[in-house]
Amino acid sequence: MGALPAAKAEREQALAEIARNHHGALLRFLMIRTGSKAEAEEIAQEAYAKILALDRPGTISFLLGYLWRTAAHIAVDRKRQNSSRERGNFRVSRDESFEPSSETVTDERERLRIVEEAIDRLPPRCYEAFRLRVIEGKKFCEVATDLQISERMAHKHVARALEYLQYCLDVAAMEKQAR
Amino acid sequence: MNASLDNRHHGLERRLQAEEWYQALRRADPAHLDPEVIGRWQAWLLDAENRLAFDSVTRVLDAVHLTWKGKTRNPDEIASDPYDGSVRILDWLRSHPRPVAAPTAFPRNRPPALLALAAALIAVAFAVGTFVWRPGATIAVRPEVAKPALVYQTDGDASEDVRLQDGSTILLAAGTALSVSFTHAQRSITLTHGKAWFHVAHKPHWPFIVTAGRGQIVDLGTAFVVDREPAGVVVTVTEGAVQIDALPLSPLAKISVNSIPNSAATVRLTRGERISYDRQGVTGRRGRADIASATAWMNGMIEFDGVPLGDVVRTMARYAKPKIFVTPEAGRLPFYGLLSTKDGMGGFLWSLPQILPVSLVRGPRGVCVRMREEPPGESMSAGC
Repeated sequence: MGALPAAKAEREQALAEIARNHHGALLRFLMIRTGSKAEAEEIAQEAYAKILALDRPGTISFLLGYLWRTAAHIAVDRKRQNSSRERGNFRVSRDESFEPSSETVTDERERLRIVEEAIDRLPPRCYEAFRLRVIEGKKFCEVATDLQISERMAHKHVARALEYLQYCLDVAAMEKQAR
Repeated sequence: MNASLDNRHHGLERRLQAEEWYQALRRADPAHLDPEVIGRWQAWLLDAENRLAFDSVTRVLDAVHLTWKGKTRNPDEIASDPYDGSVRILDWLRSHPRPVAAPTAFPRNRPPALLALAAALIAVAFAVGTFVWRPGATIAVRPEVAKPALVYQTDGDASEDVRLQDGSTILLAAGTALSVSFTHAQRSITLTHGKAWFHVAHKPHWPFIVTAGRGQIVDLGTAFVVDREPAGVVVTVTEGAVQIDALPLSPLAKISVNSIPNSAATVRLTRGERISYDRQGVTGRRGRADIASATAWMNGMIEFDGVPLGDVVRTMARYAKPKIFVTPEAGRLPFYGLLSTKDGMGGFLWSLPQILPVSLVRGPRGVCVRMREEPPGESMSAGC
């Protein structure tokens, strides 16, 4: 008697603590995996709900590991579902219940256009280093070998490309604010 | 003058760390997500600058993944590329504009005319610091679109002068960013953050307009200071007069006129007057300003008049390197004093225990300021 509610209360408390300490990172992680803040929020909530529904006790560290794995799995599942639905050249929001304002659409389109043009302006070797690293996911030593440059140089090129792309986005944001 | 957004919050090293984490997390297999790795990442994220770097790298790379077209570059071009990463790409492109002609072997997915136009626009965009506007007969034919804003930004440690092509001068306080855009209709400045003093070359038919937050300051023959403080924007006129307007597009920007004996949504300030506004409208009454204290920063001095210690430290942190943490309670103590921005944080910091009931503790990440009687645990929660 009473063991179940107590366990539940404990579980809730543990979850509250986990959410307090990990929510920010979990959202960042899910945004990387999904590219959408709204979707990241949803998945996080879904993962929390699964933890609450667990019917066996667990230490915080167990629950924590479970939370991250569950969230990652949900993200992968959703991606699979979505990829069959969307083959468009760009995505505004996958969440159909959310009707993006025309402003959001233009903003997003504008941002993508800025990044695309900035990528085109990257110096050739820098572009290639960036492509191998970011798109193909190679290690820096592999990038270095492919391009016959030092690993330090590969690092430099990728960092400079990131710096430049961010600069272009920042300037555009400032100009928009000015308008 | 560091006329760019370059050094904002992250060096190249930090950016690379952020990119490493981004890649690792993006590619991690859910079934083998290592809690230890996540823990290390979270520890790394505890640093505010790391967090900023990570979020901006995420924004950039998300956009890259969405927009990637899979173009490849000509191998000869890659092999002979002289760029070596030692300067920013922005600066490199300024001194090495790319040829306009598209290489035929690697067709672009844009019609050539558009490409040429784009290249021309880019060339203009990266022309170093030259304004294309000139008074005279050419006004009518000059296309508006070809004049992008120039961005000026100061780093944490020094104020900088900018002399504009129209003869106006802007003095940017440390940690300030603004953009300048001249069209034939008007001279527009947007103060994104920080504080600046504008000494305007007055031209009756060419308005000089500073936008800061939800308001605009229109020059009427003047010098004035605009300060974007966390709580709102403070405008102080040091010479002549300005007019402050609500932003026409924003209903929020209605400047309330209750406290102002002036016409709706427009306030006129003259020498020695100051006003503050935020998104609700005018919040500070129009009052006499102490010009000496409003402009003290221009001589490397900042006056604090009962400002909470936490805010003082945040302001001074723009000028000095050592990391300083303040416990919440100590952060609420009012501080009075005139501090020099040129001496760094040191003198100010070590004098604190003499003027306030605080003590300094060295922590692993920097110096912590806490109340004398506060238990050490408080300093932990303050982040040091």
